[in-house]
Amino acid sequence: MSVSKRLVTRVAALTAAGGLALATAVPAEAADPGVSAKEIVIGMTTPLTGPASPGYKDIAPAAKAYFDYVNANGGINGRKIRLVVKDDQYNPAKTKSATSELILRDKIFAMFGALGTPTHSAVISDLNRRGIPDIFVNTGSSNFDNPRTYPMTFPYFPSYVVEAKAMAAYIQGDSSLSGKKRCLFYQDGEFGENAMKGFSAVGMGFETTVSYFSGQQVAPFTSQVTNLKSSGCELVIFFGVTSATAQLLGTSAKAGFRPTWMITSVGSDPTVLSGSLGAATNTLLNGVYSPSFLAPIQDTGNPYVSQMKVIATKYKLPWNFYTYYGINTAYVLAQALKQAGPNLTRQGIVNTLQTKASSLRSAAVVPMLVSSRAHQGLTGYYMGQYNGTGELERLTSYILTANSASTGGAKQRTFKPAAPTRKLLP
Amino acid sequence: MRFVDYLLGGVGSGLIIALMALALVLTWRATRVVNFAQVGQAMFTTFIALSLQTLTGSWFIALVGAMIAGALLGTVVQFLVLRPVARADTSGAIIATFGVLIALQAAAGMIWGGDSQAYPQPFGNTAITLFGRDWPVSAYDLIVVGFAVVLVVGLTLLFTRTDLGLAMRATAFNPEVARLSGVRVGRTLTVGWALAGTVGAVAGVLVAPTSAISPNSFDILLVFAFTAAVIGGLDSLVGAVALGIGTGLVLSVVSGFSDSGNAPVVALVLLALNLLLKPEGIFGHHKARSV
Amino acid sequence: MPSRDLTRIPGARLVLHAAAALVVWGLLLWGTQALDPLMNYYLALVAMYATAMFGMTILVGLSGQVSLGNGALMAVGAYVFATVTLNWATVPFTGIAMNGWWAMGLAAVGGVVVGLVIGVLGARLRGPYLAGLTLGVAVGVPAIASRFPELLGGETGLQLTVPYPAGGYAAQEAVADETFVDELPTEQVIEDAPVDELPVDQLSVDQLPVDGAGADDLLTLDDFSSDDVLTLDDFSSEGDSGALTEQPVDELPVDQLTLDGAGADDLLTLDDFSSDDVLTLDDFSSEGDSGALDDVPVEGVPLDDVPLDELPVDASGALPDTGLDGGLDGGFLGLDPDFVLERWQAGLAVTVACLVGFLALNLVRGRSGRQWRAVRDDTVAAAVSGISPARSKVSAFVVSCLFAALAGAVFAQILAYVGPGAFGLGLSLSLLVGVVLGGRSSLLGAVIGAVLLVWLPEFVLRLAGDRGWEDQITNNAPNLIYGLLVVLVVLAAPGGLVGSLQGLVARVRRRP
Repeated sequence: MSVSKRLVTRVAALTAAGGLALATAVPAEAADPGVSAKEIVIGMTTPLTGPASPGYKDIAPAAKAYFDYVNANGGINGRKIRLVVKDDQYNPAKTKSATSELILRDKIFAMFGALGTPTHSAVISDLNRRGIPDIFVNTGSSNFDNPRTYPMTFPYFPSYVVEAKAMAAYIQGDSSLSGKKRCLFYQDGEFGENAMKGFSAVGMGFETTVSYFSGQQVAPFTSQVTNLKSSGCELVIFFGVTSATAQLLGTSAKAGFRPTWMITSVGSDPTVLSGSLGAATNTLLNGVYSPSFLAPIQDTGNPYVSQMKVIATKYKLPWNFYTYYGINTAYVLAQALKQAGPNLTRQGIVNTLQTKASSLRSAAVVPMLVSSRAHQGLTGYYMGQYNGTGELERLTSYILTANSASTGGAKQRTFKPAAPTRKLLP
Repeated sequence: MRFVDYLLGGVGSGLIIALMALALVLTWRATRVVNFAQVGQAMFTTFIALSLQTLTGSWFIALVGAMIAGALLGTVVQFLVLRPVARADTSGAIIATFGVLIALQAAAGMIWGGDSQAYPQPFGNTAITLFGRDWPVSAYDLIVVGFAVVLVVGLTLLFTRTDLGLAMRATAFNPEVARLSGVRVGRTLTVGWALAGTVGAVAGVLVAPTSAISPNSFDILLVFAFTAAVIGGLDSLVGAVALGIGTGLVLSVVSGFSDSGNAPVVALVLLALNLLLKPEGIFGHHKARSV
Repeated sequence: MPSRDLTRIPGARLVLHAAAALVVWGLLLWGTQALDPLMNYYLALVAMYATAMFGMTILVGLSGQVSLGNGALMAVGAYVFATVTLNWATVPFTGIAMNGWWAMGLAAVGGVVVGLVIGVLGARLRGPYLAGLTLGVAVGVPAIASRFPELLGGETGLQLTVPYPAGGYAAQEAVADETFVDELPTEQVIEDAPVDELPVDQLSVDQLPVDGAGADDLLTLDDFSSDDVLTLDDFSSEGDSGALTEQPVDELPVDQLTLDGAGADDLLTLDDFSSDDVLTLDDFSSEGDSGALDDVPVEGVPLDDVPLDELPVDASGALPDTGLDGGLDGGFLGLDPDFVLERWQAGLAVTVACLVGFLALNLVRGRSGRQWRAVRDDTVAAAVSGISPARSKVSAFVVSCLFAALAGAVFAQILAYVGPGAFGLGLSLSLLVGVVLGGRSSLLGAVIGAVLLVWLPEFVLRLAGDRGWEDQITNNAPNLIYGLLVVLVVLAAPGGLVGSLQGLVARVRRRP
């Protein structure tokens, strides 16, 4: 590509970004696809089968249950939400086909909760090119927060970079951890890159860093654990998926390796872990640090948790982190759709998210940051620690917020989320 | 010291690879077909074992159940799928085993779901402490070693000391001559597949506690077991076991000193080098090249 | 048949094949006008699969070598295409500006080189050895791709810009993060809460009695009536059952449920679910959405209800021009922008498929085809009659790798993405499945197999959806059918669909 052509692309992108700000008060003459007087069609791609499906497959039914609940109570501005879920088996080629079908056959109004970094990378340009809102992508990859290139894409949960920064800030502030020999163990790819970026932004180094390949199945981390053990690691930070956490904890116990663990929020759900670790789960998880951004799931004193649990119960869903998360994001989307008004358009929902995200209620205990300049989503974490009964307890009353930039660390702040809306309806 | 730890850590997974390679060798010896569905059969029987374990609470009953199921499944696959394939159609036989693999994985997904499920640990899975340090070997690893030794000795005795074993060797060597000598060839072939199914089932039940079980969880095992079986010579029981352990050790050391992402690549390179330099395998006598 | 005589004239067969390929190409391209975007997308997929499977026909069917590596060879083609378009502004040694066709040419070269390496290693091996080696290739090549995150994008893969005909293929440039965490609020304040949501909403979450004495009074499962408890089997097993029976809802003082004047009915209880409005999927089917459009016209919504900043930017609902496609060619041929991309994808894939099909037709019907068949049927006899079996097998391998690499380059453009996850063992297996089902030694079989690969899962999923099967059954059904069909075809109809049809036609003809 020639320099001049690149320049044209740049200029065009900037013009487009500028164009977003120039709102004119002209009503839409024809409704966008996926919106009728009675219905809003939303699409989702997620692994329901295959090796990557454990845990994640609970998100879609949870979101569907919440929308069913909203529909049963009058819908949103008189419209019912129809969520069309497609199984992509975490295969980017299938994600592409599934997304094409959602766009071209189901005529979706917006994508919601599309899961996975490689899978979503295969469709994000197409969604943005077509101007389809791409709301609350389910991945902590920092690359999708880029409103200039992806003006339609809105991540929800904080990136792994933010998580690494929050971990670093907590470790530096906790004298029982700051003196320990630190080691990092990560999954190749997104996890590793983002984690390294976050830690190096605050200049945190490690005794040793060890990685694993996501396709690895047969050799259960024996070599890596041997490495960590012989390096004398006392605090091991782990960035990987839940099934890998299970292998890691199991192999380490077998090797007599008992460091202090700090595990990424997406890799430590006890209900999914117990699928692999069985009865030993709670013992192995006891004392493990893990950041989180949602109110602890067992904290039924929290009105969000208790009410979402009611919905999960009513729709006979397993009450785990993924169900909780699925209902929560569906609740946030429903509020945004409601606030976008009765004259629902794609640009309308984008504008709503960019101007009102901070006032959307959710079980998240950290603020949400979305503007026309930044689509960060949630901005930070609190630090939690698992107790002996497999419950993540909140350790810090403060939260640690950061952005995904390659400089600057996490900052301590406080945040009081608002109470839920009436009966958890949008 | 770290090197020793890597080696010891690789023994457990090496033995599992060895057992699966053993199953591949058994079907090869019986019918001159590499059963690519072997890991699918093992996965299926391990799920059956898990159901039995949940039902009865006995690890041993589950193991025996898996072995019986493995023998039955091997028999069924050989009888219904492999036997009717035209003998000249070697491509057809290979393709059919892949068909069985795809179907078994889908069926397991339908019955037991796609989730990884924990397989209970029957014996202690903590490091053995000796001479004042922990070694990356557990009591469970020793059980696996025991099983592998018993299986290899038993199979060797079967092949060398029994009439059935003699018939199987004769059939593998030349089915027409064997038939003329009064061997019931069809039955012998089926027995070979049943044996392979049993060994695969044992491998599945033994590996499940360390890696959990899901419809696809043994896929990569197929690649490693095939590598071991081919380098071992495809014909040789001892070769399969030795190279299976060897593959496990190499993978463990490679993962330890470089990165586990290199393990499949290293396996591929080993396989390619072997096929280039000594295609009949280290312990094999059989011609791997046809021209 | 006159054509048989014509082919005796030197060069006539070439012309005939070229004419056939041109006619098919023209017909298909013309046909893309009539197809809707989704059908065009499917056509693109079918043509892409067919391209790869022409190679499978030659390798598996004609040359008798079972390979699982062709999915990995597609990965080679796709990665060459992607890295070349992303990193090279010009074609090496020529100074010509890089474009999609040159990149595909380089992808083909990459496929030939890798094909030669694997072919030399494997083509002289007996069936199972070759299948195993290529199995290793199918698993190993994507693993190699994920080893080089800088160049090949690692696990995440590489994105290509949406490939418009007039557009470039440049990587999207990362824009520096602009986030403003310092401006974050310390309390979530809802400024514009609608009137009917007062006053619970004005509280922040920790003003609710979370850990005080009233903690149990917020709505929990304890609020179930005893009738409801029986239906919640899942929950009673988790140990909540004791609490359920201890504290029936009637015994709770109503005022403890309220929060600063909010009525008890502000909180969600299970009683809010009336038995007939829970399963709301029925609502959709009963209401339909086609005729209902007229009932509540969109324009009927009073405008003054809509805050100013919620109004759409672009009144026409047209796509925002993000500049992503480089060419800014949304109006290509004056068509609806949604339409252009799929039609262009179909056009590209069909063109490559016809080109490759033409090549394959010539090879299969020419001397190479005869040699491949001869070596497959009887190696010794072939060697005696002067054919080098090794060279013949390697050549089949290289040809199939060339086709696979081209298919991979097309796939990369259809996906606008390459990544290890898209080129796993599953892809290799499905190529094998397709070619077996269609007919192992027929080029037409490859096309039919490609159609089956795209259509069958769709068909099964839709069938299952209509019948309301459980997800666990539905999502695994296509693979179960594939597996069983493969076994059945190998046993009962080794010639696949095409072979069976030919047999049927021959039998009908034999009858007077």
